[in-house]
Amino acid sequence: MKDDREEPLTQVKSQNSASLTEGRNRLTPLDEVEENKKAKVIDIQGGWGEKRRLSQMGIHPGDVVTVVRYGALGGPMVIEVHGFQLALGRGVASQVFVEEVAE
Amino acid sequence: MRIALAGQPNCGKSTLFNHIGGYKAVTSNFPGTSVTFTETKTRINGLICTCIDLPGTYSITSEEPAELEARKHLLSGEVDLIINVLDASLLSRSLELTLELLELEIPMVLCLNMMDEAEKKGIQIDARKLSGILGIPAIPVVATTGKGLIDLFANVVVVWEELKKGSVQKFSKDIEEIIQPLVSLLNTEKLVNEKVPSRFLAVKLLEKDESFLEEVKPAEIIYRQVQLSQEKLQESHGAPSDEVISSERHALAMNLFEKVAQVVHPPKRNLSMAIDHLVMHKVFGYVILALVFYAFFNLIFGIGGYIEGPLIKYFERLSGYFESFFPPRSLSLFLIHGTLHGISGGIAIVLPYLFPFLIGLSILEDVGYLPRVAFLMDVFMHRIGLHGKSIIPFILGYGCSVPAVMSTQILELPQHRFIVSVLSTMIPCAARITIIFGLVAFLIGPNYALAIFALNILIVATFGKVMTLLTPESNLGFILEMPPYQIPALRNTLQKSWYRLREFIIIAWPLLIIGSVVLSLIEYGKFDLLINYLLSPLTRLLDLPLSVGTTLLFGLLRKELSMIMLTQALGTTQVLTVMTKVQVMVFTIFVTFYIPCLATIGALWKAIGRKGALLAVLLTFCTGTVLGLIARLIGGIFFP
Repeated sequence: MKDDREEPLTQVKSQNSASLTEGRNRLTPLDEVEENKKAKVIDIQGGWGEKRRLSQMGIHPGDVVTVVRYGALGGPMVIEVHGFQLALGRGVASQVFVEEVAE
Repeated sequence: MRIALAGQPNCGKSTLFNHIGGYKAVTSNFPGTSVTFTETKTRINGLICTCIDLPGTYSITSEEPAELEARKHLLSGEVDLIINVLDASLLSRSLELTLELLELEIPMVLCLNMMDEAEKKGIQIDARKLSGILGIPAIPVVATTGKGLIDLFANVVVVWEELKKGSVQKFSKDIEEIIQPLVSLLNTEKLVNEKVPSRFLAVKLLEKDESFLEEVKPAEIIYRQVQLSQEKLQESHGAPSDEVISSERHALAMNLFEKVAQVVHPPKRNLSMAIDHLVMHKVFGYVILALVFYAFFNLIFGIGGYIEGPLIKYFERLSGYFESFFPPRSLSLFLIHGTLHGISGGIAIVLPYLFPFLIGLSILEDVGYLPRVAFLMDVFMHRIGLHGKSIIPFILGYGCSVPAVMSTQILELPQHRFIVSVLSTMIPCAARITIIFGLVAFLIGPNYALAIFALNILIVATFGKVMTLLTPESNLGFILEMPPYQIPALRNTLQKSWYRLREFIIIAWPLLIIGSVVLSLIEYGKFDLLINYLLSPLTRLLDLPLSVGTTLLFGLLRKELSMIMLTQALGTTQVLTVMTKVQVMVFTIFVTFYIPCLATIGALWKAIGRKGALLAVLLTFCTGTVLGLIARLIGGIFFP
């Protein structure tokens, strides 16, 4: 369908974010997006349970999320999606790959 | 006729339920608070029915126990009508569950709740259009104020009489082409689950719903067809079939939302954002957290202490008054004393603390502060290997251990449920807080009471760390909705506090009075000496007066009995005249930790099984004894 990825995501994951910005895909883990920035969900990795949980909460590839804030000491982050706020642990967020969207 | 209220977490089902069946369900502003369902027999416009308030569920395919409970009921074939409660301010997401419910082909009414919130967000909903598309009534409602309920009930009756089932919404054509053959196959092979419609079953099978797949497995033809269809979907869409279906449903819901709703102006939620900016701040968030709970407990102690003193004096006068009427050591005097102690125990000691506490907790819940607490505390709970959500049972534990144990159902992993259930019983409940306030804070000083709370948290955290280290590592990610702040409706808050208090008055207070009278009789017949003798190894070990033995036994019935019975057993409310400060500390520490009360043991039994409950009893008893002993040994340093 609209999937135009060229390289498998697992490979993307192992690269650091600097080299990602150089690539054409510019895929970033959600927990590296700065506060108040918008991002479009491209792919969701992670276990079956977490994936399902996120999809039930209304997060699917294609959705645009806004990073609202990060918690202290590596605590959870808050994002806004479809008009409500959701707290995500960094572990979960690092499995959500996004593309930053300009305002 | 059975009506089920179904909806996503925190959509206001319980508030609506309370309108239907009198005040029975506990509402709050925390997703996933109703864990077990509540049932009530009621009348809706003359229609006699049983109404069930199901736990909130995001979807019918789910693994969380609270959501499984909802699923079990919906699929039981015993639900005659569904009232699907939607949070109108989150319409597109709410509609995803609606689409699933429609597939169940059960008569249904949509209740568009929180219309006021939607308006604030600038969302305008055309309920009539929605109703037209789905083929069932969609009624705008504001459950907190009761607006729209008459209309809702009238439509429930209409739907019931006409058995309106609504129209199942179709997915896109290529997906339907895969679903349809499966549906026809399921229709011809009438050997699996007959309680649910074939289409619903077909979709769930494509969604890789484990329990349905298990059911279908023996029927080889079907199972092979299911696998084939799953593969076909995956091939054509480049994603696993469950993701394809869920994305499709998501798109369908969004599409529906766009047809019936309009965002007329950007949301006005700057206030909520501004509050969050402080409350969830990396530094101030924790300062506020500490201040809130410090103020919370201080306020309760302040109010309680202010009321308690004069009330106790009044009851002492009353008791002295009776002494002049009856001969000393007569049975009637013992009985009157016992009764008075029970009554005064309830009124003068427990109610001044319990009621303010319950109101305070309700306010924190309804405002929406608790999920923020979970957000802030996740980092620390993670340190002891637990999920941020497990802070909630612990906080509820400061109210009553029974709901605390029950609320561990919001945790996904069974091993976490086990650990948090056991540990939350160690958190001092309102009754034990009363003891800590009434004995230590009142007699020795508030700082010593605070020290006991700190010790308690330290012990619980240590146990948490040790227990999570002993269980196989399996960390689940933190995913929790942050609901917008709400100004609590005074009526709801008071009703909820009253509902919780009523449990105390109905169940515990009579027990208190009976227990107090029984203890008087034991004293009259001198049986207390026997019990005290049997418990003397323990009381000797802790260097407590032998007469407290009986009170510890009664503490198992209700924790607060320990203190009320203490004054009874010692024969005076001036505890310090017969016990040293060290003894008061040892007694309080022991009572804070030792064996959960009978009601809690019952809840534990249900939540984590007999062995788990037994383990909790042993663990708490040993902890109480060891800590009591340590307090006895080092107490001399603080109170020479």
